[in-house]
Amino acid sequence: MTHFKIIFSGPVGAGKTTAIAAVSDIPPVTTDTEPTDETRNLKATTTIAMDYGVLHLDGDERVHLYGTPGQDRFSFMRPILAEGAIGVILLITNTRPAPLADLNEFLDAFHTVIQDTSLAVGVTGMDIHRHPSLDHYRQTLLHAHVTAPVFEVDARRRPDIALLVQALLLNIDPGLDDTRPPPTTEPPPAHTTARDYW
Amino acid sequence: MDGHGADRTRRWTPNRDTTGPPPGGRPLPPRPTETTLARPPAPRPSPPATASTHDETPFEVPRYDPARFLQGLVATGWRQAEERGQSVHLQGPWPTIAVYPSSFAAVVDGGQDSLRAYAGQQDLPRHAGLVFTRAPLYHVNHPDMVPLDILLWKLALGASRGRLPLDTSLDTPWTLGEWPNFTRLIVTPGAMSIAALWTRQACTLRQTIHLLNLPPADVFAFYAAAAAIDLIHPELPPPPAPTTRPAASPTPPPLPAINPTPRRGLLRKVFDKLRTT
Repeated sequence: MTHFKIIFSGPVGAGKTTAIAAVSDIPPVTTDTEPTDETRNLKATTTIAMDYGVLHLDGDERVHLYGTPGQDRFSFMRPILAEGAIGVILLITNTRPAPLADLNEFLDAFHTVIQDTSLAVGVTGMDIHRHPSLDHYRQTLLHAHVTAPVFEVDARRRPDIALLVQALLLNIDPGLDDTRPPPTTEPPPAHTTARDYW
Repeated sequence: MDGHGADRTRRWTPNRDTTGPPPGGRPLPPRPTETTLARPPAPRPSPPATASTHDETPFEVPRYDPARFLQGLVATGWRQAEERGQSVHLQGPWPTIAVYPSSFAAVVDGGQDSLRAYAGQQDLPRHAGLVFTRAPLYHVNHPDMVPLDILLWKLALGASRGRLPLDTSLDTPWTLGEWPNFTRLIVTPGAMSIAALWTRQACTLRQTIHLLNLPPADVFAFYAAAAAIDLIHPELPPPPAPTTRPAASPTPPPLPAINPTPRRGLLRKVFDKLRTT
């Protein structure tokens, strides 16, 4: 039985718990509690240890989805949860005061894991605040010498989170999606119908 | 539209030569490959040429000219409006398109999908009227407002239909400056794989088809869309080192390789699960 894990991290209110719920095969196991600090102004509950979800694969294989607590005082949990991860999904929200500083903070926190594995960044709250733009996030990543997909996401939408995780995986291995039969040596057909991609 | 400030005498003209991106602004759209909009119709395209991948598997290379489709019209209208510091209304037999360069957005009368039936019609821009104005036709929060990159991506896919833009070489190494914002764009088959490859290393179209084992049409469609929003750049060869020796004959770039991760089997299962459920 093989188990792997993907880490969902980011600041308070970025949508980590919601994102895990969007793709998990089970209702996420959360360690939410009523916040006692400034977080109570942002949300009714907050994660204090971790969130947990799972993707069941063929046989007994599964991928664990761990969400780290967003609050700084639980930051000690981040490296513990990240050990042995396939990669890191960072969710950053434009609704916080300094999203690019948040991104830098979490790039630092997961520096080793990101170097060894892969990163994908999802930006939430862009329907509320368009700035910083995705270009600003990309520039911040570039400055940190990190190449990663950056997508606008709605953490409630499964297609958004699924695409983000797929991009994380392709960032590890771009040949992952090659399941087509090898090309034939037959000449091309005399007439090929143009395909509709829109 | 009240037409206030509009220059109604200005109609479609061929592209003027323009400069690069404005300081601090979004990059301007790539210039269409030809200024055919004011020309008589081009002769019918000849049958597509054939090419082969590195392993000599032949494939067709159908071509299209972006300037002869709505894709080129919107790109050129955007560029001209940007230069004027105005917005532009692109009028013709299609639903009116209002382009707002300053907000990098457009509004399509009836919604962007109403252009789908027109995106693949060649020479449609010959019937275009461009009205430049400083008076916005639509409110900034109009429900049909769409980012320009999303619109151009769709129009390019609708025009390309798996064809390669004219004058695009199969053997130029391309890189992708950034991942497209795939959650808000049409994700064509193989697009994410190509993005992952091209953000990691320069790769020619021919090599991409071979390495990713993709149908050429899928690679061409992605190229057309990404080029339309200026995400793709050629990797220029380094300048030759000064030497007194006779110049060596140029050698072709080595074929890039994708080293599969030892976890490919597992990662593929995760990838497929996320695709199918």
